[in-house]
Amino acid sequence: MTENQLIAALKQRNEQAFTLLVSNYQNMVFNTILAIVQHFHDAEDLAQDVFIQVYESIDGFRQESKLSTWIYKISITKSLDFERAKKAKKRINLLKNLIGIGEKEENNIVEFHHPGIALDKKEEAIILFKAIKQLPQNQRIAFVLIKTEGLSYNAVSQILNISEKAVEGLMHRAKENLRKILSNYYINANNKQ
Amino acid sequence: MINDINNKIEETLSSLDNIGQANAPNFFETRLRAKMEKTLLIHKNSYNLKKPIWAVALLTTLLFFNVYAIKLTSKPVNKQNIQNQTNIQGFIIDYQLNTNSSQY
Repeated sequence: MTENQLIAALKQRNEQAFTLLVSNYQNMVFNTILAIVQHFHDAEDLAQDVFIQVYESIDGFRQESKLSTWIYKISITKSLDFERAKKAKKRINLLKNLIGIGEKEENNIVEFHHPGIALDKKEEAIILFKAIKQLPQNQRIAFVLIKTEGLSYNAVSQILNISEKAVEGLMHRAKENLRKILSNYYINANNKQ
Repeated sequence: MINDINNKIEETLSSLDNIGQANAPNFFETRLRAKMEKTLLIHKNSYNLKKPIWAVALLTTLLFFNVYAIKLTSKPVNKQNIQNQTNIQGFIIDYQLNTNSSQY
């Protein structure tokens, strides 16, 4: 089935087409979201939400871009919305704790192990993923798409609606910032020893 | 020491090179379908005012009732007044009440 046929079948609410869509794109969606939110359970939940949104709004898809580009956009938006909501919840809980009505929150800073990392690079990858979380939003998304999804600058430029030059700039600044964050991390680690 | 840190930084930055894809968990589609049934059922049973179609429909209905109410309160009253006035005049003529009161 070609992409156009798949889209046409999805617009007719064809069940088989939806199954095909899920089997074709589930790993792409899950992998992207996982690299952004860095949490397995949340990533699965959000990936499900992405497919529900695709199913609900396929009629509005005007095919100006590839289906995968559109699905990437939805995945990124969902992940960033989720992070914003999580941060807002944390802030409210902090305020509640200040006035003594908040629930006690567990300190849930968990190290993130990406399943696609080779065993000998696991430790460095954990440190790198922690550093990636501190990057500004656009730099983080560009870095994640290029490094973990293996997308080209051109593909990322279409997903983010910016020029290829702008993607290059984002990647350059992301690497610079990561070097700064990692340098601070290793200096602190050395001082502690 | 600086060299050592720089090496570690480069090593860390390259730790994502040749990263493999994280696959979606088993039975992803089964769980997705269960969630879909729940979510779509909720969406079906709710009128979401954030959707332009519902917002426009509600506004149009309100506008219609407003116009109708304005018409109802202005036009019919005028008609009734005119009718009342005609009735009163007819009554005066019928009973010859339009005579000058100074006669009495």
